[in-house]
Amino acid sequence: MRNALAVAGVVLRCWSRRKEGYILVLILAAVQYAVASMDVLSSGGSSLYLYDVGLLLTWFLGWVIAIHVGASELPGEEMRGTVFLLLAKPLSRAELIAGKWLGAWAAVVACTLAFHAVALSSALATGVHPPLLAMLEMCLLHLLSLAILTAMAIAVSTRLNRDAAISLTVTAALATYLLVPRIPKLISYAAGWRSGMLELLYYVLPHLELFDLRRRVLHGYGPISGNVLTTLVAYGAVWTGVLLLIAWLSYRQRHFQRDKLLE
Amino acid sequence: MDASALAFDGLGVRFRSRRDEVVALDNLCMSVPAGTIFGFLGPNGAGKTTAIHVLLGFQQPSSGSAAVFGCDVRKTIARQRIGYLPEHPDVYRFLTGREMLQFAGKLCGLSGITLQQRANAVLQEVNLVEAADRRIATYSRGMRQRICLAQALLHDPDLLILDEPTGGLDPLGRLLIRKIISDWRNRGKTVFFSSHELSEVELVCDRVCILARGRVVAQGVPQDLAAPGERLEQFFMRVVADAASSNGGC
Repeated sequence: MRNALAVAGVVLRCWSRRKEGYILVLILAAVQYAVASMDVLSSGGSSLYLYDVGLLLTWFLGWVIAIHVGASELPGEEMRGTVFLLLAKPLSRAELIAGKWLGAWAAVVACTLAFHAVALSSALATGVHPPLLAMLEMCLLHLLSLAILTAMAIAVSTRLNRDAAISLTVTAALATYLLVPRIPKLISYAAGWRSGMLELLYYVLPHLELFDLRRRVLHGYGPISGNVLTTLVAYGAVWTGVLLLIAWLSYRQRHFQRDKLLE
Repeated sequence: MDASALAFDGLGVRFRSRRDEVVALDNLCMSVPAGTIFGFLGPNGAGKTTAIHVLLGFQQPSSGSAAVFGCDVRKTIARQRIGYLPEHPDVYRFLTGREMLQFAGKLCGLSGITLQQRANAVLQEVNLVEAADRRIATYSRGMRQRICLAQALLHDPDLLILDEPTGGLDPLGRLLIRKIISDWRNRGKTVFFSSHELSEVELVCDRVCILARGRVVAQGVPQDLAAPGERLEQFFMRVVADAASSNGGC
């Protein structure tokens, strides 16, 4: 655990010194300012619209940063050759995976909280007062969904280079988010083994849509119950754990060679 | 201390591709006595780095085994007593030299005052005290090599593995590496290093092993290996050429 924390600390420190997160916060603030300066629909609804846009961007940018950070860490170590320095220490590969995930997720959490702060402050400035408890639940579940995505990106990056890992994780995440909730409807159109396959996919893929409480906050539906929240947190933790386990299984026997080892 | 710092016992490494199989190491048997400076020599592609990678767990052997101070290298704990400088060292450029050492120290179980003291000592040893709080991104290539060497020395390992440590260094850098290697031996530690710089090897090594095509073709004390009047470099060329011709040439 101590080693994993040391690895996580370096990941977080390196990302805090890079520009990506700061630039995304500035982009979000600029978009919010641009939307706030528009008179959308010429009605008072524009303030809520502004918050809707802010949350949508926060969601999107959270995904971008989670996949980018998660998929960059392990391939980055290999590209730099620092993986040789790390694994030459008494550091197990499980600790390396855990530390990378923890550090990447901590960086993602810091960025995402900054995104939420920008979205919320622009909403408050235009007179929108979202329900506090529901908003906190939304943030918590958003961060949990990003924990799953970060773990997914790390798992994929154990066997692929950075660009391939990013592409594959984006595809998998979008497919999961957009298609999985529609599977029950699709099953009614399918028959035989296709129906069975769809049902299998419905149960074996993560349901990222469950972590999206933006509509509840925007429309003032109030917080979800404690039991549901606890179940969702447990569901997110289990998925994160499963993906990290897959990452470890894929990485534990991984051979590292110089590019020109056989020349 | 154990009699041998590291030992390879019938070590074999094969890389399989769809088309063919390449034998990187073939039944490698050798041991390195503790407290010696051991030169691991061979032409490019002889299998030196592969053997080092097996020692550090980067590569699983296809057959045989390797041990460090009697401990199987597949166990994470075996690396507690190893300091390693890779052939193409690079480090986290967003960190400062001191932060890099603190990170490396934590992974080796150091903390607090001990870690600070050790970090200061190795920074002094590699002449990087003044640059310690600068980001590594601003370091020259030689400085990066030295900060990598510093992280290898940090936890006072019993076995130092250096893969081409003088590659790309200027004469002063080479002198520093040579001095550190000698100091390390004087403290009863073992240094295992691979190099193409045979004059360097002749100067500092107690024993050498020459590898060609994944096999040991000669090993022993450098002065005993070469014929009278023959330099290590000439001997090296001769045995490597013999090994190539006995295998049907290149």
